[in-house]
Amino acid sequence: MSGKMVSIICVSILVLANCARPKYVEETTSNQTPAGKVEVAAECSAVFSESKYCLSWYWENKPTSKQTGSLIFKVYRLNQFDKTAVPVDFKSTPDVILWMPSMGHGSTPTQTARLDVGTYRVSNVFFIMPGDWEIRFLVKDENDAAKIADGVNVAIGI
Amino acid sequence: MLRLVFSLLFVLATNYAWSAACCGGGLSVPTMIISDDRAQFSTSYGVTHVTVDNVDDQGIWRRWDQHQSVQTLKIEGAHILADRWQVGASIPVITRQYGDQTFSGLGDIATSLSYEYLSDWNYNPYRPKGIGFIQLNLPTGKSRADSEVGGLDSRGNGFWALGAGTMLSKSWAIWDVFVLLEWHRSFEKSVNTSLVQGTVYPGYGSNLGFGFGYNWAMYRAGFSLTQTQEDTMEIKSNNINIKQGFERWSTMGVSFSYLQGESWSWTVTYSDQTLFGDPLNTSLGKSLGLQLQHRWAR
Repeated sequence: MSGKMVSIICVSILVLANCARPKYVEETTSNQTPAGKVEVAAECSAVFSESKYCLSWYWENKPTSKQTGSLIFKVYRLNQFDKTAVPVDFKSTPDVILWMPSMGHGSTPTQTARLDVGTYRVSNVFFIMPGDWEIRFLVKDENDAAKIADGVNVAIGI
Repeated sequence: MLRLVFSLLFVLATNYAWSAACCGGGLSVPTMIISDDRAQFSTSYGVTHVTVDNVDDQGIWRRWDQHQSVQTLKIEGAHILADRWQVGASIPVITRQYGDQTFSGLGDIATSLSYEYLSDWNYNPYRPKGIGFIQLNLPTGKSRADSEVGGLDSRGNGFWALGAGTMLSKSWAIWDVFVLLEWHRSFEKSVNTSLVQGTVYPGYGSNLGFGFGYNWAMYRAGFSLTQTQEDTMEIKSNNINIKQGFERWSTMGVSFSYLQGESWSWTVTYSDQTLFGDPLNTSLGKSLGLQLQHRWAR
């Protein structure tokens, strides 16, 4: 009798054990970089002449011959430790000018708005003709608005 | 005499079409009396459609599906001062359209003083008639450097400019020919726009052209070809120097004139900047114009 009871208890334990659905807590959290990997260093192909801050940009809405467009640009410095991007603000919102160097004229005025630290939207972007243009990101001198304190030009083909 | 009159009509009628199709630029040739008249007055209306929006410094042509168009209404007059001296003036009103935007206003007023240094008084078979001139361009038009919208509202050169040149003309039976040489210097000026703050240095420019015509009864059919070039324009601001490329384009013109009596004449002109030459840093257009002229005999 006692042997039967022991057998039933053992089988019950085994059955209960097989039905278990264990949930283990991961030992590493998702915001940790896996061991042996490092963050990718940011590119810095366009550099402001004075501050040496970096600039990246992309079309939010690409302008056409009939429609204005908008672009987003970001200003950042390179982290001194691993060269990753660290967003930075200028003291004043940069102006953006569209300029055609070969013919010596600009285009219609744009408007720049700050979206977040180091992130800006340029709206009313319109090129009056196709050709080789420059997008000029300019920071005015805080003491003399007629002077350009910093800037970077990006050449594009339209 | 009629043939010389027609030569004059031809030159004047193509005058408005010599400027750069886009954004002003260039300098017109002065109003002159080439015939034996005492005075003349003319009015012209022309429409230029930009067909090549941009030719870059490599000579690559680009066009969009939307183009600028320019309408020019011009009144011109010239009067004899003395036997060989004459003065002239022209006043253009320019309207530029692009998409739903329209800009209009006074263009550059030009005044001139001319002297006939070679007379054809004895109808020499070879010696041409030569007129030398100096021209003063008043910056009543808006230059592209003054523009807040990339030159869409420009109405000419927009600088003080001084020019000098000569026109040689000759008639043989039913044919006439002319050669035109003109040089000018545009002077710097200060500009303060949201795009440019500083001084603009436009530099030198020239027009070099020739033409010929065939005359019959009261009609004349003509052809001309003019090459225009403008120096590099430099913009110097507080801490930025900007250089525009050297501009060059050629304008071909064909015209048809009708002499209505001894005093009135009509001329229809078609000009095209896309057919000849090796253009650089400019836009190219095609123009159609009509000119009405009245002359007073000596």
